[in-house]
Amino acid sequence: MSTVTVDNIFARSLRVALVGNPNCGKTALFNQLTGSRQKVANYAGVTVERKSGYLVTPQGHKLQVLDLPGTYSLVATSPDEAVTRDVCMGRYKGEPAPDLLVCVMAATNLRLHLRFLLELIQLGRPLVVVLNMADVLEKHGIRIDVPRLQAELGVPVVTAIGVRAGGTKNLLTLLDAVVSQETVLQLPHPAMLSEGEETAYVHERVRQILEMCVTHDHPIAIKLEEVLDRWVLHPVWGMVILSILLFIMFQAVFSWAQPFMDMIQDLMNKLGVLVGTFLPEGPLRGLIVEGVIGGAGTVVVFLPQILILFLWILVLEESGYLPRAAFLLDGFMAAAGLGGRSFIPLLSSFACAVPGIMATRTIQHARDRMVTILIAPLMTCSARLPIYALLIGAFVPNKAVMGVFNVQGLVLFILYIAGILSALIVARILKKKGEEHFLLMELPNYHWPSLRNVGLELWQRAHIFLSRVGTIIVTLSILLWALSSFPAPPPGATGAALDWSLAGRIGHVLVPIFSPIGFNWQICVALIVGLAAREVAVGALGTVYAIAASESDVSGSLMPLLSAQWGLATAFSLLAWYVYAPQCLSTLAIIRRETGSWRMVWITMVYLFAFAYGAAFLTYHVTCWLIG
Amino acid sequence: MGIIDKILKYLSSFKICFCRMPMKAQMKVQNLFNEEGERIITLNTLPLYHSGIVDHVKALSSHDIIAQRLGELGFVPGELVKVIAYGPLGKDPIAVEVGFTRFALRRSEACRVVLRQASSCSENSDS
Amino acid sequence: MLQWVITGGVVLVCIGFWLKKLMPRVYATVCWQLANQLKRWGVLPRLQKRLERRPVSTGCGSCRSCDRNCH
Repeated sequence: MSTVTVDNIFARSLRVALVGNPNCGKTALFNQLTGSRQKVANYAGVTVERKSGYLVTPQGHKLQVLDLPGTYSLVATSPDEAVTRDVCMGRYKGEPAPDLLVCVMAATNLRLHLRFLLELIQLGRPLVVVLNMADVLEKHGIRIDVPRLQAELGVPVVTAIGVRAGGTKNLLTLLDAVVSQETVLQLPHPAMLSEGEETAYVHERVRQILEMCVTHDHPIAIKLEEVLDRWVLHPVWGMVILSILLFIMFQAVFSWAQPFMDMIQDLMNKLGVLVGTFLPEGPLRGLIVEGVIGGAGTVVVFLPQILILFLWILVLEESGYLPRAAFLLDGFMAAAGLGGRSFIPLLSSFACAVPGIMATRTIQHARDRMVTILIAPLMTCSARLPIYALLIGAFVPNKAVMGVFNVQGLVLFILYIAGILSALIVARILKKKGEEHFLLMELPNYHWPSLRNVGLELWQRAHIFLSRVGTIIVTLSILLWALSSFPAPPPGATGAALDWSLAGRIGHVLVPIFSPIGFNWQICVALIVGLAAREVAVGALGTVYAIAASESDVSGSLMPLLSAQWGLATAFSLLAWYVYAPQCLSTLAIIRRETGSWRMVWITMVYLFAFAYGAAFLTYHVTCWLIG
Repeated sequence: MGIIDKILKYLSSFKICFCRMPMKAQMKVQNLFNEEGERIITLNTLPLYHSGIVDHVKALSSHDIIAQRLGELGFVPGELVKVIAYGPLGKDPIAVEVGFTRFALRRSEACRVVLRQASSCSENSDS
Repeated sequence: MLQWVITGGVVLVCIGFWLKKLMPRVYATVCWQLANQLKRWGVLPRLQKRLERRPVSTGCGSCRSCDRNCH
């Protein structure tokens, strides 16, 4: 019998790792243990999220806690699971081996979770076991003989209720005992088995243990899943429920967020004006007002949409509904070679690609996630609408065709469809031939979403967004401002100041590249400035055509100007350009954040600009040819 | 296996299931037979609300991670499996209950799970 | 005058930020050159020390995928 004492506790704090199957309530337990003392980062070299934190035990010991990604087995099938496996075995580069593994199991489903515990025992590392969701046992009529289980497994076993304050009491007491060496952990006994024998041994052992330690009385409550799933998974009613939920989500992100966004935009404008009055005339004023506040404004304005979308998604995820939605949608997404989980991010991208791309973290399949991120910008986001409105309003006659359809509405519809179809095509192209794409996923039990967990996660998302994406946007905004303001126009010059600046010069330089698709220099300049965000393009065009910034309806004033000066082909070409072009730094920034790689950002930029150029080229020349 | 035997075996599988649709309409006719000439039922052919007992999980290739994962998730010999739902489009994927856990999987994944016997329709399930 | 200095400084910091993100090796070289130049002039010792202190990246793997600013 080999024993181990957890030594060196005086040199540094003990490293504890939480490990277990998905859906065992591990994250809730982690939140309960560490509260707000958590940090979210990425594991070195991969895009897997690393959640760490620390806790202080009742006796005052400080422990570092690591929440490892949930995995069903040490035989990994995804990058998440590979990380868990490597960290548990102590062979992840840059991550020291945990001193203590805490295996969290859902007490209500030992049949499934015990298997993994036995695998962990085979590792032969210090281990304790937590039976989580202990409060649900009675409802399901299950009784577990904990001392017997402890004896059979040879490792300490405690119960816990991850969602209840104080539900981690037993675990904390155990951790105290371990740290102060009152409880001496016996290293679990790995059984010496060959490869083939292992599976059979494990199954048999699980059966033995269940027989000895778990008894099922007649359940007091009928399983909630049985009742709900009849409707939720029903081919007709399930789709009805899903459609309603998706519609509410879309409405919330698209329209209900709008007043908040307007309020924030308004606030930022006022702030800019206020700061402007305090600062003397000069470059600093422009830097602070347009560069810093303007940039920060673009970032903060996203917050309502992100918060609302994520609130919805988190509630659906916590309640256990999300995998069922993925189940219902999987058949539809197969046409694009994607899985059901890609639907919600793509749907959200119709409102704004930034929260949509953030939402792809619910997609576990690495390749699916990448493809979804790549095609999300093709979903016509709401920021494109001002451009579309301007151009369609200026160039497309407001006539009715076939009595019912409006030509303007028809053109808008075509633009939307073009985006969707392109996305499907790209997804199909990216689908690797013959790669088996497996769905196999657990439909977890329903439970009431914990407000605490949802709140905590929401706060984390917002914080990460503001700090990481925020720095990118603000610094870029400053640089763009510098480009657009310097060199300043000489006194007495005519034309827009923008024309004289570096940005303007760059725009002029770009003209020969863009003249084949019918863009004039004003458009080129507006595009440079419009890189900041899609909505900015209208304002930028206004600036270039020297419409005063105080003009409240820039779009309205621009329409007659443009329809007089531009040709139809140019307008349509610009429309086609906007369907594809990634004229949104925030989208690129969020791709960087979510994928952790610049390569993805470059790929996205290159392929989208290529599509944009190609589409604009085609549209321009076909329109020219049609007009004659 | 004479032609007549084959036809008889095939016809004898047509039973009317009192839930929803006749079995014939639900089952994709997959005439798989093992060495003894007995019909093999795989999970993807199990009709809605029917259950079966897992015989084994067959790997489709030498390094079939799906078959491995199915075993790890509880599709082990002797377990009861029940089909609880079909997907709305083309009846793919399917949702099953094995042990106390519910899973969603594609028919192409479910075909790896070989069943021993399929019990009759259990619309009002117990426990 | 002060305005120009501050504005210029801020813009330079932003450029430096992006250089570090996109071309970390170039950034490291630039920092090193700058530190040397400052040392030769004997001016701004604190800034010089900061620029010199470019520790080798520890356990990050590659600067491309590190979530923290490459160190």
